[in-house]
Amino acid sequence: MKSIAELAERVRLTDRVQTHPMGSRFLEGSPEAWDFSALPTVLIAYPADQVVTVSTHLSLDEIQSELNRTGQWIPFVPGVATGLPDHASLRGFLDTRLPHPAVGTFGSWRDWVLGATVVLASGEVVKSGCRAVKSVAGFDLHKLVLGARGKLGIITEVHLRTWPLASRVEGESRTAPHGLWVAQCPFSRVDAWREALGDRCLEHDALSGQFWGTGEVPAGADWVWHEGQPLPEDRWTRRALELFDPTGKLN
Amino acid sequence: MADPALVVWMGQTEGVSSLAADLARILGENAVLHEDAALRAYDCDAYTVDRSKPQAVVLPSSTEEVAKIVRYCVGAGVPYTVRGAGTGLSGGALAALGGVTLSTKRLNKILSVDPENRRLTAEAGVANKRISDVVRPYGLHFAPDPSSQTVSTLGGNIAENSGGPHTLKMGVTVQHIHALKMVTVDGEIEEFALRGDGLDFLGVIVGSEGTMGVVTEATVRLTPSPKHVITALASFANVRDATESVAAIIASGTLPAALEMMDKGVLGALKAAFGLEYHPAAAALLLVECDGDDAQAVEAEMQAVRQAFGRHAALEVQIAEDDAARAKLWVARKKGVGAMGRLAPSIVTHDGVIPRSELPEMLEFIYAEASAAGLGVANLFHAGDGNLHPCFYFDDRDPGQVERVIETGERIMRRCLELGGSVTGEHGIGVEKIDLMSEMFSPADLAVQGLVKSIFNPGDLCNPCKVLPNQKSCAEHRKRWRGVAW
Ligand SMILES: Cc1cc2nc3c(=O)[nH]c(=O)nc-3n(C[C@H](O)[C@H](O)[C@H](O)COP(=O)(O)OP(=O)(O)OC[C@H]3O[C@@H](n4cnc5c(N)ncnc54)[C@H](O)[C@@H]3O)c2cc1C
Repeated sequence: MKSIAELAERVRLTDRVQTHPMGSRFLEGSPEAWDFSALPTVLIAYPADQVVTVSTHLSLDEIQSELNRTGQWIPFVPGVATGLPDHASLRGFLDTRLPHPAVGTFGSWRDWVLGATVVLASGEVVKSGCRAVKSVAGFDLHKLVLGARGKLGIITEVHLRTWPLASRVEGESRTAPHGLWVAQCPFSRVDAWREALGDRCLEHDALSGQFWGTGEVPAGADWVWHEGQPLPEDRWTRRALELFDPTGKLN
Repeated sequence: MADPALVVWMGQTEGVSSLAADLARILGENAVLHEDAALRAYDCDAYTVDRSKPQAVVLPSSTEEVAKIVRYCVGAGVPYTVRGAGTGLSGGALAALGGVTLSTKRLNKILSVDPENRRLTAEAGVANKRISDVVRPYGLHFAPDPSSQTVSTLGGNIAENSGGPHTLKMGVTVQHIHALKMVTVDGEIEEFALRGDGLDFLGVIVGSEGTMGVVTEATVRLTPSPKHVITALASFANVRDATESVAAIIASGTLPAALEMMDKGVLGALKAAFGLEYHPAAAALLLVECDGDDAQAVEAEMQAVRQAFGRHAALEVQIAEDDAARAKLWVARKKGVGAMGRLAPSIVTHDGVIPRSELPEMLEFIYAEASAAGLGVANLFHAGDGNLHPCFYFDDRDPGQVERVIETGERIMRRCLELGGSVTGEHGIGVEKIDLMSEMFSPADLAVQGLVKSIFNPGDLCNPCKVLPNQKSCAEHRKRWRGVAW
């Protein structure tokens, strides 16, 4: 695949699309995953606007080092929390809406993605949002596809907010243990959670109340995200999947 | 008696009184308005160009009552539109096809305050500012601060994903909603919460302009109020110095809490309306606020801001470190809109966004367009996020001027798009900007937005004719809304 148009045409003609980001344990790896490495690469940094427009098949590593040259970074702080190898594609991070431990300071993907280009199951290529940091025009497909495990469409390009390098927080990328979960704990329970988890607490962001741990999740979480877990099966998720991918071809 | 042509749903003319009677049977007489004078008060929001009366207004007092009304409307095939305070600026609360306007006026209870978890749950009709007032004793506030905050409602803020001067650093409404309760288009009561493990439905519902259901309650995230705040008001001899200062501040990596600009048009209006005087040579003012818990960090940020001012030839910089002095510096920003309203028989405020580094060029474009059209323009806007609000003043009795205002506005919106921006940063599409949607998005982009909408609203009764162009029965009825005012 040498162009987005070619990718789109292949999606249109096929009845099975596998787009797992390489190396990810969060989405069960698949040897049949499509290879996007020959797609043309877009990486335009707008440091004066603190925005970057970038192809999602690039790895977060590559994107960060290019951005660093313009004095910018994406404030995704690696840690035990990530679990995705740094050389995984940006799309892997977006498809999982992967949490990170500096969310309380910088926000996360839903705050950073300003717009997206998406290849739909029909083979159509659509855009949502724009490159400005604020817009309320239309319904936000670029929010809906985040965390959708690639099941609503293939995100090929995004406009992302960036931050000045001066704000960079160093994180240490560690291999995540199996059975890793991330959970949102209401502030009032943080102490109880700390106690209950002991050294099963691998990471904790005091500003947001998010915890990374293994084993049993203490009671009272707002939400829990387990490694490798499929999308929830509520009524709205089912409807979204039916509408966007009626034949179930995506992932 | 209402104009029979107004009764567009079901094609029946005797429906008006029977509709009101049905609604009264469900919620009681005192929850239904149907006299012509009352309906006229609900025929538009703060965007007064387009007007369309509902056949009845209902005032439910609970989520269950909202659900009853929605179920009735669905059963009878009656369109319905939710309305908060009616301060919307794009016609979102207009009853485009008539039917029922569902007012959230009586959904006005604060249900719980949980300072420890920094959350508050309130009904949708609660005014934005009331939330911050209630939690102030705990050192907390609700961050979205639209200028309309004393009246605009939580439900309206959610529907429009509203912003304000302090959303530059804190983010707009969507960043501050923890969960919401919504009556869906089939009359069910559903809850949606922020979650890390599934699809971000909350992120899609916030900003959907009342087209996906009726929000009846929301749990908001409260923000600790910063311990240290420094405010600066700088004046500049020309606009370019001010806009370049903005670009320099952003490029330096400083993210102020607020970064607002006012130009000569605003200063003239402030003087004429309230006798307020600023630096005699000032062509533009910048209001910058830096805040945080670490005094030194706040100080350092303000230092970076002042350096940018210095490099761009600021005439004068006033600094405020306490609330009384701060309130004085904010006067120009807060009174600016009201002052402009007194300048001319009519004003129209546009809302567009550009990548913020384009501000210097964009403002010059706006002035050139205004002068070519022979129109007065004033700019008071959220400079830090590139969200423009050019405000044209004109005489609406002169059709030529009206036409020029519309055309100039459209050219400005197109320029925003050419620069990679958006046709709206906070006022929404509503009915006002529906034609511009096809300029910002391709037919395929719009079709997929239709899919996003249809997850929650596959029908055409819940707030019809808003946001997406080419909806059923809307084109023919649009002629009726237009031209009533102008
Ligand atoms: C003087 C003035 C200053 C303003 N300043 C700002 C500003 O700084 N920033 C900004 O972003 N906006 C601003 N606005 C615009 C407006 O105040 C906001 O859009 C506000 O959020 C609208 O709230 P409302 O309660 O008046 O909603 P309404 O005007 O009543 O409704 C707006 C939209 O929300 C929908 N809606 C209302 N309640 C609900 C609900 N419960 N569930 C689902 N949908 C609902 C309606 O259907 C409609 O589409 C300003 C307006 C004025 C007149």
